[in-house]
Amino acid sequence: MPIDEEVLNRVCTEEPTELEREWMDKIGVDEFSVYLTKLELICEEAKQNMIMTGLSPAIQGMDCGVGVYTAAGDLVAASVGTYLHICSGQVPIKYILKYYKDDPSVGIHEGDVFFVNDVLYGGFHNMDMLNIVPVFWEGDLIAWVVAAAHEPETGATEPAGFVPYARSRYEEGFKAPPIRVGSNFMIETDFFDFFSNMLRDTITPHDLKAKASCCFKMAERLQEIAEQKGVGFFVGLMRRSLEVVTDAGKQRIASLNDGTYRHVIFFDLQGKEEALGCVHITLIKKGDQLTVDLSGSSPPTMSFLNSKPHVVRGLLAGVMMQYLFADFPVSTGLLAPFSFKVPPGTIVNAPNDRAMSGSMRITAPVVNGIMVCLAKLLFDSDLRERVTSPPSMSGVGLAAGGGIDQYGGIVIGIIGTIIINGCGGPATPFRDGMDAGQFWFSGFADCLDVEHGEVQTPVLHLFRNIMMDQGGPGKFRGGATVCQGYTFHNAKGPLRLIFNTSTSRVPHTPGLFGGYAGGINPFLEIRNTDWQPLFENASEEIPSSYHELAASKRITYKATQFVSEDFFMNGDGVANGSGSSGGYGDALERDPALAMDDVGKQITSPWAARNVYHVAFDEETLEVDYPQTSKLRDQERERRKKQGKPYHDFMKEWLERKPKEEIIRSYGPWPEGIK
Amino acid sequence: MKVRVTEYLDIDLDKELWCCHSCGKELGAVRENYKHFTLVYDRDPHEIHKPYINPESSPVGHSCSPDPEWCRILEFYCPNCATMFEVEYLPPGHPPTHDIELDIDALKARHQNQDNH
Repeated sequence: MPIDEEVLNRVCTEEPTELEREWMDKIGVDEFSVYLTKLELICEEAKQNMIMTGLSPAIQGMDCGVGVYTAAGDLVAASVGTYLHICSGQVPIKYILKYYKDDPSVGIHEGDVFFVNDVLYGGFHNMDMLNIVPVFWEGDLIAWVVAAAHEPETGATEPAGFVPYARSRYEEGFKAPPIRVGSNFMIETDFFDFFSNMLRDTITPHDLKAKASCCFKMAERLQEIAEQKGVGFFVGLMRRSLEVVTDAGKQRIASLNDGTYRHVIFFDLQGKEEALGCVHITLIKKGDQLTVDLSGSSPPTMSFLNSKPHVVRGLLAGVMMQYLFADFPVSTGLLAPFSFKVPPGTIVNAPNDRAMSGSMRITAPVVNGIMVCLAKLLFDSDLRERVTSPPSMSGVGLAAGGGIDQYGGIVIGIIGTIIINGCGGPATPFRDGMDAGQFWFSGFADCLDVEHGEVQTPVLHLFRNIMMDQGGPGKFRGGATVCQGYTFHNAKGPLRLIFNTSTSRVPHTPGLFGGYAGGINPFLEIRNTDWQPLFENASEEIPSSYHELAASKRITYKATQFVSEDFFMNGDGVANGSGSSGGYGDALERDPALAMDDVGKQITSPWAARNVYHVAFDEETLEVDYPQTSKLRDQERERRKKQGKPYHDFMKEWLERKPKEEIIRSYGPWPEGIK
Repeated sequence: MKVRVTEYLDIDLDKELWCCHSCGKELGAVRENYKHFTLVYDRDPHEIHKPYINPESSPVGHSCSPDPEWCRILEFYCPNCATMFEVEYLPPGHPPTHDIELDIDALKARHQNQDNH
């Protein structure tokens, strides 16, 4: 069971077979278009099946995906959910082909089901669990299908899988390399019982079966194409898609300006403790190639915040499918223009024994930094309309854990509703980001209704609404996050929660071209409240927003980011927001009417309208005083000219400064990181 | 010939100069970092991101705003019209990023080819 770096890095398209070469150019344009769409519809049907049959709230919120891969393991069609799931399918398939295809003790047979969730074998973090099924026609392997989703439980030392304080992977629960778990179109009972025995919940084992049934249906549909059109047509169709997308991607990259683009991101957490870390990002564009160089990164952490290069690559691919290549079919070929340089012994290329269940919290901001570079690359091109600030990740707040629910059963996973799917969307050169628009990894994911969370977990919401002053200010504002406050209600026992978040010292979601970063928000851990009488009397003292709760003198809370020390009981509660995107352009250029509209909706505070956007307005009617606004903005520009110093003069003082040693104790070489 | 390369920056290809897109000010040599020609201001992040939570409510001083000891906002302005070209959130003393380093010869060749067509 070797960990194989060669396979982990084999994400580009495999060489075509003779049959693929023979058929790929025989297919007419019309049939190519029709049958490629058919592959996508097969995926869409399977994804809907998964949403209807899967029990994980993450699946119901569409943190899932299905994909079709060639016999050699290259992705050619998908429906998501969340793109990252289908971007993690190809490495384990190639692993199975390399190690098990010719191993008589395993082999690959029609009706088999393989499973994988280990980051060291192509996964992203072990809550993301993939079912992989080979597709045969007349005895030959002709394709693979994958159904994948975030599941609630891994059997780690904390319920729900996130273990911020883990010092090694051995505290993070169940991690499987590619392993056969089913044969003859059935999940094997002995594996199912073993799997169930490792976990606290019943949802995760159930979803193993739900995903297998989705894969079998997809395989059946693909076999119908092979039967109707012949196997040559089928494999030629997939190969042609790979080749077309690879060529189109390279052509698109070649049309952009050559140059070097840089960004640096900072982290403020090392699991339970706070400490500063960095990843310096360099994007080199030359001809039809893009090189991502992460030299200049902090050392690995002794926490769950570590990552691997294939995770960066997979997440970047998922983002590109929604962004630079959103008009292309989903395909392995999209990665053809990219190459990566990631120094070992860093937070983005950590040793194999480190904990990685929080890998997304490192990798997503890194990919956001790459997106800043890409935005600067795209501006002077025909693709300017695709320029955006990066999507929000900063502060993605997830209260996950487990305990006894309102029915006396065990509840594991995200408690409350999935507000991580309600992050603010990115700002563009033409409009504000969408509020409560998306999950960082997916534009399609859904928060689910408050009632959904209240049925599935023992909570009663005080509020769920858009969080004020979180969208990064700018000419166009970043989208603002949803926030929620809830109290535990009618639980039949205690609950354990992990405040699984990103940041409260340094924003992760930058703005673009003068736009400020998206906001940050700590969890509010609420204890020993007397909510019940307030509800019974419909009291106006019940807070109706995060900020109102934070300002309340009646309620005792603790603002924190870490593992809570004690169990939560009925009457305790939580309030938190998620990520908000950065702004675009200079805030002094924002249309005052848009700023006032935001004040009216309580998305922007009157304070920010006055002090950040420099708008003069009537506090009661919110009517803009345009002449006075113009005067205020001119004054601010004059202030900038007086306060700003010429660059080189400024640097003489600036470069003498340094954060306290305590803050940069785990940073690595200051300021450049490990090269 | 001017090429617009960011929301607020043009490049004059003939003179090889960075120019402000808002006011036209010629800033400096395009083969250098444009930030060298800007006015820079070190802003306390609390001036943009209001600290809504009293840090005393937190065992470790969380405030709903970036921590000024961990992170400053560097603002880069046009020296003529004060348009804010870019901002960076940096720990105190971390060098600003040379964020855009275009291959000027390739850019000129590209536009030369476009003109010829």
